Amino acid sequence: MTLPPPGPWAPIRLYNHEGAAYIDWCLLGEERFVDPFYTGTLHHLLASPFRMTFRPGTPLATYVRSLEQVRLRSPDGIVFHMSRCGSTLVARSLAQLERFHVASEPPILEDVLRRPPVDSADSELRAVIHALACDRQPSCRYIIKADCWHMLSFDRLRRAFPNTPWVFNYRDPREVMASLIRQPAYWAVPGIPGGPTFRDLPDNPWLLPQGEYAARILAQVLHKAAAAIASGGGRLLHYEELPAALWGKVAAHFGLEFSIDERDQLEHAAKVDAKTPALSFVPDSESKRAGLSAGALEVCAKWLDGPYRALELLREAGA
Amino acid sequence: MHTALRLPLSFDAAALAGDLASLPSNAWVAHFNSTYFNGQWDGVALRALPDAHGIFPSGQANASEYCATVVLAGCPQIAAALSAFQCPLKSVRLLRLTPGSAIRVHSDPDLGLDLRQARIHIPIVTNPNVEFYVDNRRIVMGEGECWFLELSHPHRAQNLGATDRIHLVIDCEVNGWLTDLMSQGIPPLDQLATDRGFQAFRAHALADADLLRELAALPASTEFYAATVQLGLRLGFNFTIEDVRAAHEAARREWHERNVI
Repeated sequence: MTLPPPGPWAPIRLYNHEGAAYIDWCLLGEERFVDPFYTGTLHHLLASPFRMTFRPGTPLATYVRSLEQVRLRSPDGIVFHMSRCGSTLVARSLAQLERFHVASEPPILEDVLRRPPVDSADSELRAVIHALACDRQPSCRYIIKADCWHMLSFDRLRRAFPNTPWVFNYRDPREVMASLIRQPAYWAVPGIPGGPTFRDLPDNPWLLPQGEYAARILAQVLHKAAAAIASGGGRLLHYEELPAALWGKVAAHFGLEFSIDERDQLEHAAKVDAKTPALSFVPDSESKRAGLSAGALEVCAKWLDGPYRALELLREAGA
Repeated sequence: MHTALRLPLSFDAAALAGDLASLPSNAWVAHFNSTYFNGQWDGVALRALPDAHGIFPSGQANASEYCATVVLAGCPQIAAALSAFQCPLKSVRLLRLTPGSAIRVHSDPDLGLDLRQARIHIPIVTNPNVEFYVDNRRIVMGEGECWFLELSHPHRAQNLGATDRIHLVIDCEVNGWLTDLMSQGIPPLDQLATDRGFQAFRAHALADADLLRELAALPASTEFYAATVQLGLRLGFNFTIEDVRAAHEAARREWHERNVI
């Protein structure tokens, strides 16, 4: 199996076959990624027996070679974040607009970041990001929302896309931790099969007090975000600035302009729960802070308050 | 581990078939599974639990609870064949798949060497157009041969021939004798096409944007299988609904198990 025929194909994942990496594709056709997450739309697409059965597999190396004469697509903006902080609202709201293509935490981004760069141009990463554009028209705005720990791959992403503007979205760490303790993310469960791995954590992370594993990862993410601001191209985006920052700060930074209709659509999108669009959005910052145990507050104070305050200072200074 | 092994036992298929001729026509009853096949799939219980009515496979009961049915008393050749098995027998059945019939892809979770439960197939009547697949690999079983099949793995069958397929199907507990027999078993030859050209059609379609558009426009339901068969026929391919269904099931399974390590 070689390249899929021309047209809008969505890259699903990388997989290994007889020692080589392959891209698994699903026909996108006229469909759009409008769900809160990339995998949600894939789930709907793959309910079709045709799409499930007719998935081409392309050796990653073959795909990279096929792009040698092609002008590679770069995203118009990358959203980094600390999780549970409004980033899904950003992604899902923009995805509602017809002329936007938003890849929200696509699993293949993690797959390719787990492979070391094959050359100085990081051709594999650039090819996967090109593939994630799903052959959309150049006039279509292309936004990627990374997974929260991808901030730790910032340097690599910045090298590959030096001209792509990015934002780092964050929130009061007590509210983030309250959400992560109530409903842990899979990356925050140490040793989960297939999950990401992190550096500079204790050898027995499952012995840590509740929430500390996640807090220590997020501390690395926040530190990295502050350092990344210095390297340029980025803005800080606090939860409390949403949703107005969508048509304010984020639009200005990503070079986006919205019609009156689109602005209405964004405001409407912000009225529903971003991750469960069937529910209305309910402000929960107060209740989240109030519900934290003494132990969790201690974890926040020890690991997250410092880097959070540093980001707030940067933001007050205009970042 | 092999999912199919031809065991070093063979039987006189013509003699076994002689017993079939003497069966009363009302001995054949529909398979208890009435939905997961097409056409006609029926059988005769030869050993069963005393309180079972029908042709059930073995469940959790001990082998000692299974008894010979009255039908077996009228099948001396089959009874002699069963006496060759020096392991505790559970359910024993004749299973018939008539021409044009197909058993859809499924797994039998009560079986498995890990559970020490085995199923053995002895074809009594078959034809070259009977296709039996385990893990999407075709297993060709000849009349009178004796096969261990690991049917806790996905498997399916289709009789595309013009005559019945009748197998003697033996469920048994795995003991030292059977383990020893299996260690002398021969895995099937791996040289037969496994899907009557469906994968070739798939590759053909993936290189043809117009054909893909046509396929994408087909109904997103089980009607998709039949419509794909019609498209294949138009292009000279000869695969069946069950071949498409099995490819879809295999793709689904592979997708859902992508994170299983």
